Amino acid sequence: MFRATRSRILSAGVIVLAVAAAGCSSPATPSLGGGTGPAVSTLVIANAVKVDTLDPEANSVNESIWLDQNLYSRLLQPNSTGTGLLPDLAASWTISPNSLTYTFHLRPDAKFSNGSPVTASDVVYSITRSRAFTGGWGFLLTQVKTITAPDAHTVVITLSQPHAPLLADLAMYAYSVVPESLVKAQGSSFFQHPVGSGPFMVTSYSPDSEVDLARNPYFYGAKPKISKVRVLIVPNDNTRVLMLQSKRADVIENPPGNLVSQIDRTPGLSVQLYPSTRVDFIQLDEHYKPFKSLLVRQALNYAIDRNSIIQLAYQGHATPGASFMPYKMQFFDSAITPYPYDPSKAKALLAQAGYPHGFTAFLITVSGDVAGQAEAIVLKSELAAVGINVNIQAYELLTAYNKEDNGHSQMGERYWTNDIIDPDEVATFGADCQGGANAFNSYWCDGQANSMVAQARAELNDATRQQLYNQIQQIVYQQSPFIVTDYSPYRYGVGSWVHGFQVTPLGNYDLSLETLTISSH
Amino acid sequence: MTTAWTASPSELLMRAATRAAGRRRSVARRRLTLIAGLIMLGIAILAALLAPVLATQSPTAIDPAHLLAPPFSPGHLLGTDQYGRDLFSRILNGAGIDLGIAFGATSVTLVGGTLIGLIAGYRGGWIDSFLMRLVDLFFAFPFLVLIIAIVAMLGPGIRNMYVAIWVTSWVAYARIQRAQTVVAKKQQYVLAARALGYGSLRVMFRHILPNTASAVIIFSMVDAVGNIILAASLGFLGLGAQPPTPEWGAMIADGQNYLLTSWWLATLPGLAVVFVGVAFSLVGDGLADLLRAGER
Amino acid sequence: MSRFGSLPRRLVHLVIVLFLITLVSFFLLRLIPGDPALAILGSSYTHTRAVAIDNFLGLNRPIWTQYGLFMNRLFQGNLGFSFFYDEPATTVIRQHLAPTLFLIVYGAVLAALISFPIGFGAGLHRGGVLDQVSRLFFTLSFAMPAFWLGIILILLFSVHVHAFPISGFGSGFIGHLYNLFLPALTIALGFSTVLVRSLRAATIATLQAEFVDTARMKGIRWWRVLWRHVFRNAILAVVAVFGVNLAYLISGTVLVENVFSLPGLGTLLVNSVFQRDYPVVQGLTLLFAVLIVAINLLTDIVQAALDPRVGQEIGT
Repeated sequence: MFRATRSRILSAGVIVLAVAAAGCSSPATPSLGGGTGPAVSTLVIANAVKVDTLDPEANSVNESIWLDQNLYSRLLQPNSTGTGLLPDLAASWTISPNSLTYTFHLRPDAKFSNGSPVTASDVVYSITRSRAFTGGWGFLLTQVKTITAPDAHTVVITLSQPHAPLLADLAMYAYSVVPESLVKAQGSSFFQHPVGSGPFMVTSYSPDSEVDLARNPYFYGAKPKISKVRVLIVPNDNTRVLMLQSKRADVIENPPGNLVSQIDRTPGLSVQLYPSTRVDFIQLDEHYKPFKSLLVRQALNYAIDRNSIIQLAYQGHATPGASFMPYKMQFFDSAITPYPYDPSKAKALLAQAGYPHGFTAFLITVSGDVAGQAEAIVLKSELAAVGINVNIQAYELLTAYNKEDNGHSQMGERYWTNDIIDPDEVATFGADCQGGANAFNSYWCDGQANSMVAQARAELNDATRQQLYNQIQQIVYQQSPFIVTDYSPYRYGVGSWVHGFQVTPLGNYDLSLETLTISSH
Repeated sequence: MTTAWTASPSELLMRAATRAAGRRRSVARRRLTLIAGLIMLGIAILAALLAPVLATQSPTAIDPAHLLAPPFSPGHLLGTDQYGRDLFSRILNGAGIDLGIAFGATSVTLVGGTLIGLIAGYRGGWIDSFLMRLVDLFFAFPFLVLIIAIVAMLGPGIRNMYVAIWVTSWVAYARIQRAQTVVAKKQQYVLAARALGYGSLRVMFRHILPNTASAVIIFSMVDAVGNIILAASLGFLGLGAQPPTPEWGAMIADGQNYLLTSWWLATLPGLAVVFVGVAFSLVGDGLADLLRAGER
Repeated sequence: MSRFGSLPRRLVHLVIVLFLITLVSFFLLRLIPGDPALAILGSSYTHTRAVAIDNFLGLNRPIWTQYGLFMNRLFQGNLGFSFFYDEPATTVIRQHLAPTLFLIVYGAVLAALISFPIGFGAGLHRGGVLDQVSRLFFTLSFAMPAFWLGIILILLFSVHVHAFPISGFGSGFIGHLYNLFLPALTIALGFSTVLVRSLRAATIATLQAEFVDTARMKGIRWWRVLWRHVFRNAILAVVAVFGVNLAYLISGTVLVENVFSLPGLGTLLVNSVFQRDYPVVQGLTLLFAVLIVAINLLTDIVQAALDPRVGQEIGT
């Protein structure tokens, strides 16, 4: 009758629908090769963050920067360990004896993905444009006087004083080479369907959901073995992991720490850790009286058990932090070892500093940052053991940064990553109080460190630079204007059917995309 | 509806009688709903009040030796979370927070919004116009932006969640009460009261309000559930209670990362939310039936 | 008040409300601590770079000047340039429109499909099995946070049973229907609670009304009675419920969009607020406001058309 009929029909319908749906294969599944036979030619990567723009002068999101590396070339490029530079568009270069003139000879076979050749004028245009971009990376090239193209395959750069990081600066994503005529003609809409000279080109661009790449037919380097890359934007952590587990993605960015062991245990999947340039540290604002005291800062270092932070926040997948420079980067001083965990020494130092009963401080953290929250909780309990009462305050990202960047904070969880492989950038931001960042917002100042940073910037001899940076790192280690906690690697979930996926310390994987292969799965 | 629809008066009388009997039966059922809801609510309140006694372990002490223990592990009835904290005591201690939001945030908006709606509806004229335009403004403004903005400005934390809810949730009550008041204004009992010379305040509060309050009260039950979920959502977005506060919503948000391996972290606080939400819903339903029956 | 006499007045009120919204959103955004330069510069923040960016974006001018420029551009149909995406704000919004609209309509349709049979059935057989079970079910589902429900649906229907894709919008109309089924279902279940309750109440109320007995006594066939009165009043109630809840729905899809990784307006709104992308947030706020106000107006008109006694207690 009426009473039961409708509901029975409804429930029967639902069951039929579910069974039918279960039987069908999903039309939305990407075709990852036909199951049997030859290698697969499309790589599916699931990223955690959306792309902001493909304009290299304006990128501020890591995931966009890594895409840039695939689409464009620069004069030089970092090698795969991030410790040196390789030629890219510049096949060779010479430096004048006074170190003020650099002459780059471009490779004659470089072409954009539309077939037109890459000329010196394109290079000059790209660098000049990016340098002039407001709030961009022009400050890295303050010492550059002129950039000219005497002929179609030569670029000459002159400096006002010797500048050691120049080559590393030019290898930076912001100085990617774009086709002058097209950018001038199309303006910002060019970057909706950009043309570059990198190994891949964009075939479809939806910055919030998917960016599709195809092989650049005119690429001057080795032809990539895969012909397509699909970059999916999947912000939800669990969803990304599920995609890897169901083989709908081949590589996923940053699987959450607590799922690492589960992924590793799944046959055919693994979590790869790649050394990065990330340095996690606790920012200390010297405007807060206790932190002005060197003894207090050193006490904090001894009061913290870096290993337990790494255990709880990174499931053991990180390295205890010592020097403020990224782990094993160029001129990193391996002789510096992490402060040992010694709570009694910490208490003694605090008493010596005039704080026998400790003090109270607030710690700014970023809400939603799982590792950061774990770290904060460990810090709170470890510092409580030496009498320091920590109040955890969680803010959304920009509010946290705003509070930390204006001289009114106390403790804050921050991190640093390199944009160039040269140590000048991190030294300027972290060791030089005149460098613009107030030594990672600590407002600590050491004149000797400042002058050494400036010296190292103008010193082209590697051995001398190593000496200078060693000294800088020692000063920062002794003075500890901030607490370096750990170096955390990049985490990627990778299917065993993907061969040769590698991430450089700067986070790029373009080099590996040129050689990687995918078996059917 | 298998009976024929050809009408004969005697049949109709019989049907009316059966309907009345049915109504009496369902009154009993309705009271059951109300009682069930009140019992559940009572359990929740008791749990919140007795938390310090019932919870055997500290809700905030970390225990690296017993991370992610599943339910029914020794010493941890509901298991532990990613820092080794006992889930049972966290849920118990969190009851006070979420019940506080359900009661505290809701009651203020209930009273405030109802007052505004009452005044607007009774006075009419430019006060009504002005207040209702204000209500329109709040309704039209995406409430999520408003809440995020408020919390971002004032900082996260439970106190500011209250403020955010107060500022945004009063509008629904105002609109409901105003509609009720406008209709009531024309009813016999109000006209009679005014004819008798009673002042506006008296008419509003002694006559109109008691007769129309059912709508807003019933809505407040629904709203209470909504506020708990709103608190959970704010926690999900990272704007809620500060760590290590054991607020249920924040716990669900934290536990979401562990859903694939340690389902109890998000599921159990979620069940607590559902329990309290169902309690409020049942009370609301029961009240609705009771009050509506009384009104008729 | 006559049906259409108040329409011009309503429209004037509409414009005032929208104007006030642009004012409030403009100033409210700038009260939130932190500025776009922080989002753009991240850990490589220096004061000099930040000032340069702020100047470039025009954020260092007096606030009333900025507001004046904003309104001026607005009247020309220009929402400004997104700080984050390097594109006009209108373009950014347009790119995110489709998933959200599709999701909401899909969710509303599913909600109707679920609620109508259950609501009518429960109302016609008050106290019956369907009534009891559906009340229990919907009381439970109402108290569930949407993001929690979404994850459970994914676990059940995407992982254990490979019935539906885990995320994304899909391509083509059928692709959208397929990909968005689970998120739409999540939304529909929340929506259905109120809808079923409303339908049920309306059905019961109408059935109990005297004129139904009168109609029956006059010998009119039952299905005509059903159609003319029960259905009619039920739909009136539904329209009212849709009107109020659809408005909340528009900004409330954020969490569902996050769980299912849908690049829709809700996600865009939250991200843009967090990134301080003022032009996009202002544009979205205005868009939502216009939609909400338009839907409310439409709801009122439909109600007036269906029932001249509009303004009574049905709906809020």
